[in-house]
Amino acid sequence: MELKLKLYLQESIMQKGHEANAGSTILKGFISPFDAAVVERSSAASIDIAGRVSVDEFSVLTITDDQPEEITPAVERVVADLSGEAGPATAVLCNDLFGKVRRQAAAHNLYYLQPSYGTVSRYGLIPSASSMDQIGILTSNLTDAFMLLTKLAGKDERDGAMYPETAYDYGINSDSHKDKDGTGHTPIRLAFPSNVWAKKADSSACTALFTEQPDRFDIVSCELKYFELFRQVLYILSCAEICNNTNRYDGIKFGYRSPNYKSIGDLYVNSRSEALGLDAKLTIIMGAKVLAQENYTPLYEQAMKIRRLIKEAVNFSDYDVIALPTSLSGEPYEESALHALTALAGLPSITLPEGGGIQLIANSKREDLLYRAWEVLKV
Amino acid sequence: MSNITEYAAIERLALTDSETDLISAKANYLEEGFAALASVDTSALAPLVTVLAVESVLREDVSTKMLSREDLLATAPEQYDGYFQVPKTLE
Repeated sequence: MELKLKLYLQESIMQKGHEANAGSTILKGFISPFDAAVVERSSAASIDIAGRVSVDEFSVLTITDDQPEEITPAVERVVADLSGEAGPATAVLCNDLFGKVRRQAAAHNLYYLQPSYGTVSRYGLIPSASSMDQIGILTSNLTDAFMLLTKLAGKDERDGAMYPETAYDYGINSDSHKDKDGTGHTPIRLAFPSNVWAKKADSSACTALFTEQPDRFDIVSCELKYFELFRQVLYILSCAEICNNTNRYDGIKFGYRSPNYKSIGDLYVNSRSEALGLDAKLTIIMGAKVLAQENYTPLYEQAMKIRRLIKEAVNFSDYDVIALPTSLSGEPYEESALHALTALAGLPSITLPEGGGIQLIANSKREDLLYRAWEVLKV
Repeated sequence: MSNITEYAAIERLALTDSETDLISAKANYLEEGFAALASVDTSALAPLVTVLAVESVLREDVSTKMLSREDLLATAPEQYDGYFQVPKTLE
Protein backbone atom coordinates (compact mmCIF):
# COMPACT_ATOMS: atom_id res chain seq x y z
CA MET A 1 0.00 0.00 0.00
CA GLU A 2 1.38 3.39 -0.99
CA LEU A 3 2.05 5.68 1.92
CA LYS A 4 1.89 9.44 1.43
CA LEU A 5 3.46 11.55 4.16
CA LYS A 6 5.15 14.89 4.61
CA LEU A 7 8.21 13.56 6.39
CA TYR A 8 10.60 15.79 8.29
CA LEU A 9 13.81 15.01 10.16
CA GLN A 10 15.06 16.41 13.41
CA GLU A 11 18.44 17.97 12.71
CA SER A 12 20.16 15.14 14.53
CA ILE A 13 19.37 12.79 11.63
CA MET A 14 21.69 13.00 8.66
CA GLN A 15 20.57 13.63 5.11
CA LYS A 16 23.33 13.82 2.54
CA GLY A 17 24.11 17.37 1.46
CA HIS A 18 22.04 18.97 4.23
CA GLU A 19 23.11 20.45 7.55
CA ALA A 20 22.81 18.16 10.55
CA ASN A 21 23.75 20.14 13.64
CA ALA A 22 21.96 18.21 16.40
CA GLY A 23 20.80 21.56 17.69
CA SER A 24 24.32 22.61 18.60
CA THR A 25 26.50 25.51 17.48
CA ILE A 26 29.42 23.11 17.67
CA LEU A 27 27.99 21.33 14.61
CA LYS A 28 26.79 24.49 12.88
CA GLY A 29 27.51 24.19 9.19
CA PHE A 30 28.20 20.45 9.37
CA ILE A 31 26.92 19.03 6.09
CA SER A 32 26.03 15.35 6.20
CA PRO A 33 28.29 13.32 3.92
CA PHE A 34 25.82 10.44 3.77
CA ASP A 35 22.18 9.54 4.38
CA ALA A 36 20.98 8.02 7.62
CA ALA A 37 19.50 4.54 7.30
CA VAL A 38 16.00 5.91 7.93
CA VAL A 39 16.49 8.37 5.07
CA GLU A 40 17.60 5.58 2.76
CA ARG A 41 14.60 3.47 3.73
CA SER A 42 12.18 6.35 3.38
CA SER A 43 13.54 7.03 -0.07
CA ALA A 44 13.22 3.36 -0.99
CA ALA A 45 9.55 3.61 0.02
CA SER A 46 9.15 6.66 -2.25
CA ILE A 47 8.75 8.98 0.71
CA ASP A 48 10.71 12.20 0.20
CA ILE A 49 12.13 14.27 3.02
CA ALA A 50 10.12 17.48 3.18
CA GLY A 51 12.56 19.30 5.43
CA ARG A 52 14.30 19.41 8.77
CA VAL A 53 13.36 20.80 12.17
CA SER A 54 15.67 21.95 14.92
CA VAL A 55 16.15 19.94 18.09
CA ASP A 56 17.29 20.51 21.66
CA GLU A 57 21.08 20.35 21.69
CA PHE A 58 22.07 16.66 21.56
CA SER A 59 18.59 15.89 22.97
CA VAL A 60 19.80 16.74 26.47
CA LEU A 61 17.36 17.50 29.26
CA THR A 62 16.75 21.25 29.41
CA ILE A 63 16.64 22.32 33.05
CA THR A 64 18.83 25.43 33.28
CA ASP A 65 16.14 27.75 31.95
CA ASP A 66 13.42 28.51 34.46
CA GLN A 67 11.22 30.17 31.84
CA PRO A 68 8.04 28.36 30.75
CA GLU A 69 8.85 25.58 28.32
CA GLU A 70 8.51 26.58 24.66
CA ILE A 71 6.86 24.38 22.08
CA THR A 72 9.46 22.10 20.55
CA PRO A 73 10.05 22.69 16.81
CA ALA A 74 9.00 19.16 15.84
CA VAL A 75 5.59 19.63 17.47
CA GLU A 76 5.35 23.14 16.05
CA ARG A 77 5.98 21.77 12.56
CA VAL A 78 3.18 19.20 12.71
CA VAL A 79 0.75 21.65 14.28
CA ALA A 80 1.51 24.19 11.55
CA ASP A 81 0.93 21.63 8.80
CA LEU A 82 -2.36 20.60 10.38
CA SER A 83 -3.60 24.17 10.26
CA GLY A 84 -2.65 24.56 6.60
CA GLU A 85 -4.16 23.16 3.45
CA ALA A 86 -5.50 19.63 3.55
CA GLY A 87 -2.97 17.07 2.40
CA PRO A 88 -1.04 14.06 3.54
CA ALA A 89 -0.30 13.69 7.23
CA THR A 90 2.93 15.12 8.61
CA ALA A 91 5.48 13.04 10.47
CA VAL A 92 8.77 14.00 12.08
CA LEU A 93 11.51 11.48 12.86
CA CYS A 94 12.83 12.30 16.33
CA ASN A 95 15.18 11.06 19.01
CA ASP A 96 13.09 11.86 22.09
CA LEU A 97 15.40 10.75 24.87
CA PHE A 98 13.73 12.49 27.81
CA GLY A 99 10.12 12.48 26.54
CA LYS A 100 9.76 16.19 25.83
CA VAL A 101 8.35 15.62 22.34
CA ARG A 102 6.00 12.89 23.55
CA ARG A 103 4.75 15.05 26.40
CA GLN A 104 4.12 17.99 24.10
CA ALA A 105 2.61 15.76 21.41
CA ALA A 106 -0.16 14.66 23.73
CA ALA A 107 -0.77 18.25 24.79
CA HIS A 108 -1.10 19.39 21.17
CA ASN A 109 -3.44 16.64 19.97
CA LEU A 110 -0.64 14.71 18.22
CA TYR A 111 0.70 11.18 18.41
CA TYR A 112 4.10 9.58 18.90
CA LEU A 113 5.25 6.07 18.06
CA GLN A 114 8.40 4.93 19.86
CA PRO A 115 9.71 1.67 18.35
CA SER A 116 11.46 -1.07 20.28
CA TYR A 117 15.15 -0.43 20.82
CA GLY A 118 17.11 -2.41 18.28
CA THR A 119 14.48 -2.46 15.55
CA VAL A 120 15.17 0.84 13.74
CA SER A 121 18.71 1.57 12.67
CA ARG A 122 20.41 4.60 14.23
CA TYR A 123 23.04 4.70 11.50
CA GLY A 124 23.24 8.39 10.61
CA LEU A 125 21.64 9.55 13.86
CA ILE A 126 24.06 11.86 15.67
CA PRO A 127 24.41 9.95 18.94
CA SER A 128 23.36 11.25 22.31
CA ALA A 129 22.95 8.31 24.73
CA SER A 130 23.72 5.30 22.58
CA SER A 131 22.20 2.63 24.81
CA MET A 132 18.88 4.50 24.75
CA ASP A 133 18.81 6.53 21.52
CA GLN A 134 15.89 5.48 19.34
CA ILE A 135 14.32 7.13 16.32
CA GLY A 136 10.59 7.55 16.82
CA ILE A 137 7.76 9.11 14.84
CA LEU A 138 5.83 12.22 15.83
CA THR A 139 2.71 12.50 13.72
CA SER A 140 -0.84 13.69 13.27
CA ASN A 141 -1.87 10.23 12.05
CA LEU A 142 -0.85 7.25 14.14
CA THR A 143 -2.02 4.66 11.60
CA ASP A 144 0.31 6.23 9.04
CA ALA A 145 3.09 6.16 11.62
CA PHE A 146 2.71 2.39 12.01
CA MET A 147 2.79 2.04 8.24
CA LEU A 148 5.92 4.18 8.08
CA LEU A 149 7.52 2.06 10.78
CA THR A 150 7.09 -1.05 8.66
CA LYS A 151 9.19 0.74 6.03
CA LEU A 152 11.89 1.87 8.48
CA ALA A 153 12.35 -1.10 10.82
CA GLY A 154 14.63 -4.05 10.21
CA LYS A 155 18.21 -5.07 10.85
CA ASP A 156 20.97 -2.87 9.53
CA GLU A 157 24.54 -4.12 9.86
CA ARG A 158 25.75 -0.56 10.37
CA ASP A 159 23.99 -0.25 13.74
CA GLY A 160 25.71 -2.57 16.19
CA ALA A 161 22.72 -2.91 18.52
CA MET A 162 19.90 -4.46 16.53
CA TYR A 163 17.71 -7.53 16.64
CA PRO A 164 18.22 -9.97 13.75
CA GLU A 165 14.79 -9.60 12.11
CA THR A 166 14.99 -7.91 8.74
CA ALA A 167 11.36 -6.78 8.74
CA TYR A 168 8.43 -6.47 11.13
CA ASP A 169 4.70 -6.98 10.71
CA TYR A 170 2.65 -5.04 13.21
CA GLY A 171 -0.63 -6.63 12.17
CA ILE A 172 -1.50 -3.80 9.82
CA ASN A 173 -3.88 -4.87 7.03
CA SER A 174 -4.61 -8.12 8.80
CA ASP A 175 -7.26 -9.44 11.08
CA SER A 176 -4.75 -10.28 13.77
CA HIS A 177 -6.71 -8.15 16.21
CA LYS A 178 -9.53 -10.65 15.99
CA ASP A 179 -9.80 -14.13 17.40
CA LYS A 180 -8.90 -17.04 15.18
CA ASP A 181 -12.53 -17.60 14.21
CA GLY A 182 -12.66 -14.01 13.04
CA THR A 183 -15.70 -13.15 15.09
CA GLY A 184 -14.44 -11.89 18.39
CA HIS A 185 -11.58 -9.99 19.98
CA THR A 186 -9.04 -11.07 22.51
CA PRO A 187 -9.12 -8.44 25.24
CA ILE A 188 -5.85 -6.62 25.82
CA ARG A 189 -4.69 -6.91 29.41
CA LEU A 190 -3.94 -3.33 30.34
CA ALA A 191 -2.00 -2.43 33.48
CA PHE A 192 -2.52 0.91 35.20
CA PRO A 193 0.34 1.16 37.73
CA SER A 194 -1.39 2.48 40.82
CA ASN A 195 1.72 4.10 42.29
CA VAL A 196 2.10 6.28 39.18
CA TRP A 197 -1.54 7.11 38.51
CA ALA A 198 -2.01 8.09 42.14
CA LYS A 199 0.16 11.12 41.39
CA LYS A 200 -2.25 12.39 38.76
CA ALA A 201 -4.94 14.71 40.06
CA ASP A 202 -7.67 13.34 37.81
CA SER A 203 -7.14 10.19 35.81
CA SER A 204 -10.79 9.41 35.14
CA ALA A 205 -10.70 10.60 31.51
CA CYS A 206 -7.78 8.25 30.78
CA THR A 207 -9.21 5.21 32.48
CA ALA A 208 -12.62 5.81 30.90
CA LEU A 209 -11.08 5.24 27.46
CA PHE A 210 -10.66 1.62 28.40
CA THR A 211 -13.26 0.84 31.04
CA GLU A 212 -15.97 1.82 28.56
CA GLN A 213 -14.91 -1.12 26.41
CA PRO A 214 -14.72 -4.05 28.87
CA ASP A 215 -14.84 -6.62 26.07
CA ARG A 216 -11.72 -5.10 24.49
CA PHE A 217 -9.60 -4.31 27.55
CA ASP A 218 -9.05 -6.13 30.82
CA ILE A 219 -7.80 -3.67 33.41
CA VAL A 220 -5.08 -5.20 35.56
CA SER A 221 -3.72 -3.65 38.73
CA CYS A 222 0.01 -3.44 39.24
CA GLU A 223 2.78 -1.28 40.63
CA LEU A 224 5.70 0.03 38.63
CA LYS A 225 8.59 -0.87 40.90
CA TYR A 226 11.43 1.62 41.32
CA PHE A 227 9.42 4.38 39.62
CA GLU A 228 10.75 6.84 42.19
CA LEU A 229 14.24 6.21 40.83
CA PHE A 230 13.44 6.28 37.12
CA ARG A 231 14.48 9.86 36.47
CA GLN A 232 17.73 9.57 38.39
CA VAL A 233 18.75 6.38 36.60
CA LEU A 234 17.83 7.87 33.22
CA TYR A 235 19.77 11.04 33.93
CA ILE A 236 22.89 9.34 35.29
CA LEU A 237 23.18 6.87 32.43
CA SER A 238 22.35 9.38 29.73
CA CYS A 239 24.66 12.11 30.99
CA ALA A 240 27.53 9.62 31.09
CA GLU A 241 26.82 8.47 27.55
CA ILE A 242 26.26 12.00 26.22
CA CYS A 243 29.51 13.07 27.88
CA ASN A 244 31.40 10.35 26.02
CA ASN A 245 29.61 10.89 22.72
CA THR A 246 30.26 14.62 22.70
CA ASN A 247 33.97 14.29 23.42
CA ARG A 248 34.49 14.03 19.65
CA TYR A 249 33.56 17.68 19.19
CA ASP A 250 36.96 19.28 19.52
CA GLY A 251 37.07 21.90 16.78
CA ILE A 252 39.29 19.69 14.63
CA LYS A 253 37.33 17.20 12.58
CA PHE A 254 33.94 18.80 12.08
CA GLY A 255 31.75 21.68 13.03
CA TYR A 256 32.71 24.83 14.86
CA ARG A 257 36.27 26.02 15.49
CA SER A 258 36.88 29.02 17.72
CA PRO A 259 38.86 31.79 16.09
CA ASN A 260 40.42 32.48 19.50
CA TYR A 261 43.37 30.16 20.03
CA LYS A 262 47.12 29.98 20.03
CA SER A 263 47.72 26.40 21.14
CA ILE A 264 45.94 23.14 20.45
CA GLY A 265 44.70 23.22 24.05
CA ASP A 266 43.15 26.64 23.53
CA LEU A 267 41.50 25.39 20.38
CA TYR A 268 39.82 22.49 22.19
CA VAL A 269 38.69 24.52 25.20
CA ASN A 270 37.56 27.65 23.37
CA SER A 271 35.76 25.77 20.60
CA ARG A 272 33.79 23.67 23.09
CA SER A 273 33.20 26.47 25.58
CA GLU A 274 31.97 28.93 22.98
CA ALA A 275 29.79 26.51 21.04
CA LEU A 276 28.16 24.21 23.59
CA GLY A 277 25.03 25.45 25.32
CA LEU A 278 24.42 25.61 29.05
CA ASP A 279 22.32 22.44 29.33
CA ALA A 280 24.84 20.53 27.23
CA LYS A 281 27.65 21.75 29.49
CA LEU A 282 25.70 20.72 32.58
CA THR A 283 25.05 17.28 31.09
CA ILE A 284 28.68 16.79 30.06
CA ILE A 285 30.00 17.89 33.44
CA MET A 286 27.54 15.63 35.24
CA GLY A 287 28.66 12.83 32.95
CA ALA A 288 32.28 13.43 33.91
CA LYS A 289 31.24 13.46 37.53
CA VAL A 290 29.28 10.20 37.58
CA LEU A 291 32.07 8.49 35.65
CA ALA A 292 34.82 9.79 37.96
CA GLN A 293 36.60 7.14 40.00
CA GLU A 294 35.03 8.17 43.29
CA ASN A 295 31.50 8.16 41.86
CA TYR A 296 31.63 5.32 39.36
CA THR A 297 30.49 2.54 41.71
CA PRO A 298 27.92 4.41 43.83
CA LEU A 299 26.37 6.29 40.91
CA TYR A 300 27.11 5.01 37.41
CA GLU A 301 27.41 1.30 38.17
CA GLN A 302 24.57 1.47 40.69
CA ALA A 303 22.36 3.12 38.04
CA MET A 304 23.19 0.32 35.59
CA LYS A 305 22.26 -2.26 38.23
CA ILE A 306 18.99 -0.53 39.03
CA ARG A 307 18.34 -0.37 35.29
CA ARG A 308 18.45 -4.17 35.39
CA LEU A 309 15.97 -4.22 38.28
CA ILE A 310 13.66 -1.83 36.43
CA LYS A 311 13.72 -3.93 33.27
CA GLU A 312 13.25 -7.23 35.10
CA ALA A 313 10.44 -5.87 37.31
CA VAL A 314 8.26 -5.27 34.27
CA ASN A 315 6.32 -8.50 34.00
CA PHE A 316 4.56 -8.86 30.69
CA SER A 317 3.24 -12.28 31.63
CA ASP A 318 0.73 -10.52 33.92
CA TYR A 319 -0.37 -7.91 31.37
CA ASP A 320 0.06 -7.01 27.71
CA VAL A 321 0.36 -3.27 27.86
CA ILE A 322 1.24 -0.71 30.54
CA ALA A 323 -0.64 2.60 30.58
CA LEU A 324 1.09 5.68 31.94
CA PRO A 325 0.23 9.38 31.95
CA THR A 326 2.15 11.61 29.57
CA SER A 327 2.47 14.41 32.11
CA LEU A 328 2.19 14.98 35.84
CA SER A 329 3.87 18.07 37.22
CA GLY A 330 5.12 19.85 34.11
CA GLU A 331 8.65 20.03 35.55
CA PRO A 332 10.92 18.52 32.84
CA TYR A 333 13.19 16.47 35.11
CA GLU A 334 10.29 14.98 37.07
CA GLU A 335 8.35 14.36 33.88
CA SER A 336 11.25 12.42 32.39
CA ALA A 337 10.39 9.59 34.81
CA LEU A 338 7.20 8.94 32.85
CA HIS A 339 9.16 8.44 29.66
CA ALA A 340 12.14 6.64 31.16
CA LEU A 341 10.80 3.09 31.00
CA THR A 342 10.91 2.96 27.20
CA ALA A 343 14.49 4.23 27.20
CA LEU A 344 15.79 2.13 30.10
CA ALA A 345 14.11 -1.13 29.05
CA GLY A 346 14.08 -0.54 25.29
CA LEU A 347 10.32 -0.87 25.05
CA PRO A 348 7.96 0.41 22.34
CA SER A 349 5.19 2.85 23.11
CA ILE A 350 2.48 4.97 21.59
CA THR A 351 1.59 8.36 22.99
CA LEU A 352 -1.97 9.56 22.51
CA PRO A 353 -3.70 12.85 23.27
CA GLU A 354 -6.93 11.03 24.13
CA GLY A 355 -8.05 11.24 27.73
CA GLY A 356 -5.82 14.24 28.32
CA GLY A 357 -2.69 12.32 27.38
CA ILE A 358 -1.78 8.68 27.81
CA GLN A 359 1.05 6.42 26.72
CA LEU A 360 0.78 2.70 26.15
CA ILE A 361 3.93 0.59 26.52
CA ALA A 362 4.32 -3.00 25.31
CA ASN A 363 7.02 -5.62 25.53
CA SER A 364 9.93 -5.39 23.14
CA LYS A 365 8.95 -6.11 19.54
CA ARG A 366 5.24 -6.18 20.47
CA GLU A 367 4.22 -3.06 18.59
CA ASP A 368 1.42 -5.23 17.21
CA LEU A 369 -0.30 -5.01 20.61
CA LEU A 370 -0.04 -1.24 20.52
CA TYR A 371 -1.49 -1.21 17.02
CA ARG A 372 -4.36 -3.42 18.19
CA ALA A 373 -5.06 -1.09 21.09
CA TRP A 374 -5.00 1.89 18.75
CA GLU A 375 -7.35 0.15 16.30
CA VAL A 376 -9.86 -0.31 19.09
CA LEU A 377 -9.48 3.18 20.51
CA LYS A 378 -9.79 5.05 17.23
CA VAL A 379 -13.12 3.44 16.33
CA MET B 1 37.43 16.07 43.62
CA SER B 2 34.15 17.91 43.78
CA ASN B 3 34.64 21.28 42.16
CA ILE B 4 32.52 21.85 39.06
CA THR B 5 35.31 23.74 37.33
CA GLU B 6 37.66 20.78 37.77
CA TYR B 7 35.21 18.42 36.07
CA ALA B 8 34.68 21.07 33.40
CA ALA B 9 38.43 21.20 32.80
CA ILE B 10 38.52 17.44 32.26
CA GLU B 11 35.89 17.94 29.57
CA ARG B 12 37.86 20.80 27.99
CA LEU B 13 35.32 23.38 29.09
CA ALA B 14 36.04 26.79 30.57
CA LEU B 15 33.02 28.18 32.38
CA THR B 16 32.16 31.78 33.05
CA ASP B 17 31.37 32.73 36.65
CA SER B 18 27.64 32.80 35.95
CA GLU B 19 27.80 29.42 34.21
CA THR B 20 29.71 27.97 37.16
CA ASP B 21 27.10 29.25 39.60
CA LEU B 22 24.13 27.94 37.62
CA ILE B 23 25.68 24.57 36.81
CA SER B 24 26.76 24.13 40.43
CA ALA B 25 23.23 24.84 41.63
CA LYS B 26 21.69 22.41 39.15
CA ALA B 27 24.33 19.79 39.92
CA ASN B 28 23.54 20.04 43.62
CA TYR B 29 19.84 19.64 42.88
CA LEU B 30 20.46 16.57 40.73
CA GLU B 31 22.86 15.00 43.23
CA GLU B 32 20.36 15.33 46.06
CA GLY B 33 18.11 13.03 44.06
CA PHE B 34 20.93 10.64 43.22
CA ALA B 35 21.34 9.84 46.92
CA ALA B 36 18.18 7.71 46.78
CA LEU B 37 19.95 5.15 44.62
CA ALA B 38 21.90 3.98 47.66
CA SER B 39 18.70 2.67 49.24
CA VAL B 40 18.53 -0.23 46.78
CA ASP B 41 20.53 -3.38 47.53
CA THR B 42 22.20 -4.33 44.27
CA SER B 43 25.13 -6.25 45.70
CA ALA B 44 24.19 -9.47 43.91
CA LEU B 45 23.41 -7.87 40.57
CA ALA B 46 25.38 -7.34 37.41
CA PRO B 47 25.05 -3.98 35.66
CA LEU B 48 22.72 -3.85 32.67
CA VAL B 49 24.76 -2.40 29.85
CA THR B 50 22.44 -3.17 26.96
CA VAL B 51 18.77 -4.03 26.82
CA LEU B 52 19.13 -6.27 23.79
CA ALA B 53 18.51 -9.92 24.50
CA VAL B 54 20.66 -10.91 21.53
CA GLU B 55 24.43 -10.97 21.53
CA SER B 56 26.37 -8.62 19.39
CA VAL B 57 28.42 -10.38 16.73
CA LEU B 58 31.30 -9.22 14.63
CA ARG B 59 30.79 -8.66 10.94
CA GLU B 60 32.91 -10.35 8.30
CA ASP B 61 36.49 -9.13 8.35
CA VAL B 62 36.22 -7.46 4.97
CA SER B 63 37.31 -3.90 4.37
CA THR B 64 34.66 -1.45 3.28
CA LYS B 65 34.99 2.11 2.12
CA MET B 66 32.30 4.32 3.56
CA LEU B 67 33.59 7.78 2.84
CA SER B 68 36.44 9.22 0.80
CA ARG B 69 39.21 11.37 2.24
CA GLU B 70 37.61 14.32 0.46
CA ASP B 71 34.21 13.59 2.03
CA LEU B 72 35.70 13.46 5.50
CA LEU B 73 37.84 16.55 5.10
CA ALA B 74 34.88 18.47 3.74
CA THR B 75 33.35 18.41 7.22
CA ALA B 76 36.47 19.91 8.87
CA PRO B 77 36.60 23.56 9.89
CA GLU B 78 40.11 23.82 8.46
CA GLN B 79 42.12 21.54 6.20
CA TYR B 80 45.42 21.70 4.38
CA ASP B 81 46.91 19.52 1.68
CA GLY B 82 44.62 16.58 2.38
CA TYR B 83 44.86 16.69 6.20
CA PHE B 84 42.97 18.20 9.13
CA GLN B 85 44.76 21.41 9.98
CA VAL B 86 45.64 22.12 13.61
CA PRO B 87 47.85 24.69 15.30
CA LYS B 88 51.46 23.84 15.94
CA THR B 89 51.62 21.21 18.68
CA LEU B 90 55.41 20.99 19.16
CA GLU B 91 57.80 23.84 19.79
